[in-house]
This record gives sequence, C-alpha cells and structure tokens, in this order.
Amino acid sequence: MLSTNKLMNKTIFHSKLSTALLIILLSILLSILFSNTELSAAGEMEAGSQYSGKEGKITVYISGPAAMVSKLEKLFESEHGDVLELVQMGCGPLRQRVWTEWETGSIQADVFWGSDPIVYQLLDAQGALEPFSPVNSRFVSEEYKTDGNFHYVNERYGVIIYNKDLLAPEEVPTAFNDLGKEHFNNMVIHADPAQSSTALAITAGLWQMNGMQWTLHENLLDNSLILTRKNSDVPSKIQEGEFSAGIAPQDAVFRLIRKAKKEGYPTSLSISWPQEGAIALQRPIAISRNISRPDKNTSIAKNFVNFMLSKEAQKITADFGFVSVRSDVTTKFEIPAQAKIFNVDWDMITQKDRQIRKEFDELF
Amino acid sequence: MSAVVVLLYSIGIIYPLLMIIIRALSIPSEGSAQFTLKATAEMVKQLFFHNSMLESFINTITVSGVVTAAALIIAGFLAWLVTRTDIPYKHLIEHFVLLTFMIPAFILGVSWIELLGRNGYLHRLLSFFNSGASYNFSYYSLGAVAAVLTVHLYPIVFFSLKNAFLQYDKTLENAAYLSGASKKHVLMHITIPLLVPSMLSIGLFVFSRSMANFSIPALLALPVRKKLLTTQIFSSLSALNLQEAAALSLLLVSISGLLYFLYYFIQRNRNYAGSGVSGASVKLLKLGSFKWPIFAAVMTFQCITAVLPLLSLVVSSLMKRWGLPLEWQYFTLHNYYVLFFHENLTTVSFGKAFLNSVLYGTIAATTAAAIASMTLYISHTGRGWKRSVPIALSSWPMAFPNIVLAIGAILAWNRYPFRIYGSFWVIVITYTVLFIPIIMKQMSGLLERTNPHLIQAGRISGAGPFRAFKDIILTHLLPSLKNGWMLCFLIALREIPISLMLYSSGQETLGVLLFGMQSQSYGLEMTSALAVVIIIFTFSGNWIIRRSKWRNRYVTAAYREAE
Repeated sequence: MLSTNKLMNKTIFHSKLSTALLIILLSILLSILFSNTELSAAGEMEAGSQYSGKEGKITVYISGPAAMVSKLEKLFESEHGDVLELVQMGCGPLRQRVWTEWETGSIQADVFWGSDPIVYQLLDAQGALEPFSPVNSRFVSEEYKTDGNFHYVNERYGVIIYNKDLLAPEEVPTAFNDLGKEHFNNMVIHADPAQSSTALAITAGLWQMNGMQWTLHENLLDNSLILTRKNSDVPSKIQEGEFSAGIAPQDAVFRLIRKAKKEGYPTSLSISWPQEGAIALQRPIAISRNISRPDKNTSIAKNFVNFMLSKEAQKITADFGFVSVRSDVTTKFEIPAQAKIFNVDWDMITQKDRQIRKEFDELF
Repeated sequence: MSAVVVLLYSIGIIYPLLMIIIRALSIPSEGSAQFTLKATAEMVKQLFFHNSMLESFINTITVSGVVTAAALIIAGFLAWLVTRTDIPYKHLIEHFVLLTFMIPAFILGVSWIELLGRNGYLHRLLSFFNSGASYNFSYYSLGAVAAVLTVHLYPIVFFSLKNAFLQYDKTLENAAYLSGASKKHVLMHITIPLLVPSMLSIGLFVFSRSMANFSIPALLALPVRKKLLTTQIFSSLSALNLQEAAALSLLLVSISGLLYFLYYFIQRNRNYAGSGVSGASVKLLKLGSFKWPIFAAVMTFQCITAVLPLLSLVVSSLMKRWGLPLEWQYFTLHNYYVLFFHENLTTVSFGKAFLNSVLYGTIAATTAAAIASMTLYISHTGRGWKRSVPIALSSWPMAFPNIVLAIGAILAWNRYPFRIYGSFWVIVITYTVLFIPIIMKQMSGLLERTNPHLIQAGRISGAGPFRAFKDIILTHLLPSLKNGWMLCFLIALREIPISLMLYSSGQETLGVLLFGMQSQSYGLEMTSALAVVIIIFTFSGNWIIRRSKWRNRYVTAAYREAE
C-alpha cells in the first residue's frame, strides 16, 4: 500500500513538473521570439515602428523647474490648443528613460528637452532623432548652432557654489582645485554622475579641463566628496548649511535666492566663478524619429521645437536663470566681467564616452 | 478557470522575468542583441568579476546581514518582554512598535537626515549647549542604511515572534519550571530553541526585504559612493547600460528567490517547533528591580525610533525652509497650502497625484484580489498541478524587489505584442503583480481553516464552480479579502520605485511626488509636509483595518512585506 502511494505521488509530481516545465518553455520561446524581433528593431529596423500616442497631442519629456515648464506650456497652448502632454523629470531620469525606451522598443516621447548633449549625440548617431531645422534657428547665436539633429535651447554654467556664512572670506574657493584643500574635507558636495546627466556633463568637462586626467576628482575623493542624487540638491544642501561648498549649475542658485527674497527668509548662498572657467552646459531639444507618427503630431512637434527657440519662450527660460541661445534675449543674472567660460568638446566626450564611464566607475 | 489563471501568470509574471533573463544574458552587437553562448559566458564573467558589481554585492549582503541580526535581537527581546515577563504597559510598547511600522521607509530616511544630519536637530541641540562642539557623525554611510532599515523592519519581526511566543505549547515551559529548572535554563533550553524555526523563517524574510530596498540606500549610501545592488541597477540605467541593469536584476532575483524558497520551506515545516495552541498560561518571568529600568530603556528606544522621526517631520514641515533657525518668524503653514493648492508644485498637482495613486491602487488591488481568490479556489478544490502551480506562480513576485518588477515591465510592455508601456495600465499591471502575493498571504491563513467539504457539499447540491466560488469561498474569504485590499491600497499610496520608473504624462503618483519634490527649489520642508500627509493617510487606513470585524495575524506581516 505504501509503495503504491509513493508511486502515485511520484507520478503526480512528474505530471506537475512536466506541466510547469511546459509553461516555462512556452514562455521562453515566446520571449525569445518577441525579444529578437524588437531588439533588432531598436538598432536596425526603422526607428519607432509603432506609435503609442494620440493624434493631435504630443508627448514631451522635459526637465526643468515646474513653474517654468508650466509657463511654456500655457504660452504654446494658447496658440496651438491643448496639444502637449508633458512628462517632467530630472535630467538623469530623462536620459535614463529615453535611452531605455530606445533600447527596448521606441522612444515614447515625441520631443525631449533637457539632459546633456552626450545622450543626444549618441541617439543621433543611431538614427533615433528626426532631422529638422527650425525657422527660429536663424536667430540662434553661431556658437550655439549644432551639426546634429538636435538644437540647443539654453546654456547654464557649472560653477562653485558656497555658503558665505560657513566660510571666512579668505576661505572662499576661487578655483575648482581649491575644493581639494584640507579645510573642505567632508564639506564639498557634487551631484552623482551616475544619477544626474548634468553632473556627468560637468564631470566630463572637468576631466577635459584637467588635460583628460582625473586629478581634480581624485583630490575631491581624497577630501571625502559627498554625492547627491540631483544637481538641485547641491545648492539646497549648501543653503541649508549641511555643506559649505559644491559644484553645480548656477541657475538653481538664482531661483533659490529669488525664492528666499520672496518668502522673506535669509539665504547665504553665493557663487564663485572659477578661475579655470565655468563649464558651459547646453540643454538640447530633439524630436524622436518615428515613422508611424501621424503627420499632425510631427507638425506639432516641429512647432514646439521652433517655439522653444522663439524670443517669448527664451525670455521665460532666461527668467528662471538660464542663458538664452539668442543674442536678443538678455540674461537675468550677473556674470562678472572677468569670469571665464570653458567650452566642453562634446564630440570628443561622446567619442570617449565608454572610456570616461569606465574610468569614472573605477575611480568612484 | 485554472487555465485562465495560469495564462495570466505566464503573461504577467513569467514573461517579464524571462525578458530580464534574456536581456541580461545577451551582448549587444551592432545595435541588436543576440542570445548566444559566447554572450552568456561574457555576461557571466562581467557579473562576477566586475569591481563595482562585486562591491555592491558584498555591501548588500553585509547590510542585509546586519539588519537581520539587529532586527532579530531587538524584536526578539521586545517580543519576549511583552509575552514572557511582567513588564508594565505592554500595550504601550506594542502601540509604539505599530507606530514605527507605519512610517514608510523613505520617510524614515528623510527624518534620519533631519535628526542626525550636520544641520539636523541633534547637532543644533549640541551646539546650543556647546557652540564650539564638532560634529562628525557619519549619517551618510552603510551603517546609517543598516540602522534605518533595522528600525523599518524590526516591527515585522516583533509581530511574527510575538505570535510565535503566543502560539507554541506553553506546557513545555511550565513542565520545566515544575521540574525545578531555573529561569535562565528555561529561556536557553526551551524558549529560544522553540523559536529557532520562526526566527530563521522571519530572518530570511527580513534579509530578503533589506536586500530589495531601494529608497534608503539611494538616500543614505549613494552620497558616500557606497553601492548596493538596487542602487546599482538605477545607476546602470542612468549610465545607459540596460544590460547591466538587467543582469543585476537577475542576480537580485536569484538571491531573493533562493531566500524566499528557504523561507517558504521553513514556513511549511515550522510546526515541529510547537504543536498547536495550548490553552495553558505561561508563568511570567518577574523582572524584579530591573522592571522599571528595562521599561525606561524600551521607552527611550521607542521614542527615538518612532516619536522623534514623526516629530522632526512635523516641525520641518512647518519651516519656511529646512535649515533655518527654529524661530517663530520662520514657521509657516504655507508648505501645506502649496502642497494642496499650488498648481506648479511639479507639472502635476498634489490632488492629481493623490487621485492617480487612489485610482491605480483601487484597480490593481481589486484585480489582484480577484486573481488571488480564484487562485486559492483552484488550489483548494483542484488536484495535481492545479493545487501547486498557480500558488507557486502567484507567490513568486514576493521575491522580486519593486525596482526589478519595474525593469521587467519596461522590457516586457514596450514591445509587440503587449505594447502598453506609456499608458497607466503598465503601472496598474505591475502593481497587480506586486499585490497578488500580499493578498494571497492574507487569505491563505483563513482558507486553511475553511472546511473543504463545504465546497463538495455545495457542488453535490447542484452549484456550479462559479456559484460555489462566489457563495462559499468568497463568503469565507471576504473579511481577509477586504483587509488585503486595503493594505494593497495603502501600499499604492506610498510606492516609489515602480511609479518612478513607469510613470508617464499625467500619471505621477504620490511616490513620484515625494521622491522628486526637492528638485523644484523646495527643500526637506516640503518633502516633510508631503510625508506628514502620507502618514496621516496611512494611519487612517490602518485605523479602518483595525476597526474591521475580522483582523488576522497576517495583516501586519503582509503589509511590511510589500514595502
């Protein structure tokens, strides 16, 4: 009797096992089938063979202050109607999402704006961007014109930010290299290049500035550099007194000082324009290439990119601390006359992208 | 019915997981990925010989080990105190544990910075007494991650061990006392050995959940460049390395899966530790002169881990800017006004994010409840593979960290034939996959006590399978189904990784708002205001659960498991 039960149990077990294996096997086959079809689609077939959006409404991935984004949206839609679906995120998540979507199928956004020029160059090289020359690009200053299928909308500068209450006047850093000094031990902050694309761009710029060496970063690491998730955390944490200095774009400082004035509380945030030069960081915009996109949506996307280069839109972005790419729009913050600007060679950085990331990963 | 359920699990669970495996074990060549042996070998080499991968693996295992040990010691001691000693105000101790238990992990991390940061309340207090005092506490460190995760996870261990203390056969202890054994001897040779299976089982579970946590390491370890597996996945995605992210996900799922299998195995076989519930009351250990000092120590610990974090969040939420001196002129209610009425909080308002969380939580919890109850019906009434396969498939996601579920969703739902990525359904489906095992766990305890003959009787009396399911199973399961539904709904209100990685335009949830608040020129004051509101919702939901007529012992466990 016992052996019969054992035999029955064994048979049931085998039956269970074979059914489970069958299900798993079928799933594997299906997955391989679909993955091979679609993975090759990302690189070799026509970009974006499927369009998931609605006709008459485009999706825009956007990074930047919500108030600015909202003003831009209202202004554009006052002329074109309710045609924008904005997905706001940090510059790091934007780069992460666009690239992941491209690799797994197609980019969901019709237009994306923000992040660093590196990811735009990489996408452009893979044919993921729609060729388009906006009418308003004729008003763009020569130094901001690009060869690729993306356009610079703004510029900002990677500078030294410090808390004037925490530093004596003689301690104020005047060069990036000053941040490696001993009295800044455990007091310097920088956004994590693994999470923030702007921080990655700043890191690449500093690497180029130091003769393609990591000496500055090694000094900063020896000085117990602290990393944040986002660039905006850098001025915030310095303002709050958690750290005394850091490296980040200047635009957030401009907004934080304005907010403090408006809400009636003191702030000790200040900017030091580094002797080596403030790192110029451009914010590109591009239309993703998608052969299935309805013509109407392509037209809206082109209008939106063109709108971003218009004087009205540029004035709005300048009002939030960004530098306009148009010469007829003035900057809202003061750049000292003696301040130097360091231009990053994005072509070279993009070519050495893998090397930079590998070396950076080993260093950090 | 069984075929439909298995098909749903195959599409919702197996398919995304297989997509992760394929992606992880392929090497892209000229824009496409191929599933080859060479690629697999290369990928395996990368997996085990890559410095940052090894570092994150070791850090993850170390932190999880420390958290597990600390949680077992703290919770074991507290559970022993409230069940086996004459410590006063036992309910107060349990209420404090419950209070800690209801603070979401990310919020606990934020309050850690507010309390212990360089400009935190502790440093300010120290500076008040000694203005020249230096402050070098490492509040960003792996130790900080371990400490916050221990506080976050110890309540679940407490509830589990308390149940174990209450359930095993107390006559064994009484017999030992009658035979002349000392208190210490009884503790060391009866009480602790009887608890070992429970401790092992809950320990494995805590280890697995520590390993899966994303928000705390992102907040407290990344600033000092300490990598853990979950944060490394996020960083890999930022570095445009989807393959590494998939490989790391696979590694994480493999370890979690192994641990979950062990946990499940121990759970199934834990009865040898005690033979059912004994009606006998155990002799309580008299703490004597240590009673009040121990009580004071416990209260101090609980005030630090429960009351202080809440207090710091409330105070910070009332500041014009976090970091300003604590002077009346800098206090304001404006943050709450901005939170509820400011349309430019982010591109989505608080109201919209709240409604999204409610909508996704409602649909996903309802769908999960329907699928879970069907699964239980099948396993309860079926034979052969129907008894085990659906249950095994439904429990599987319990081993997946939320961030891995999100990666699986991106890989699976952004391609033919299931191209739903970009719509809110992708969030709903991923939430559903997350919720099914939670609801299953809620209901399985009750179903075990349901007489299977009732269904047979119903079927003999002429009821079809759906009628039997509706009138017998559903009626029996309804109380725990309601509890499970509510727990899942509350989890949806605070979930971060899935929403953060899958949201699209207008789909922002409260979790997305919480995680991204500081990028909008707001500091910790606004994060704290949102945290306070979320905690109030959680308290309210918990109050509803506690008020419900039937509340089983799995409620708290399942709740924590989903964090």
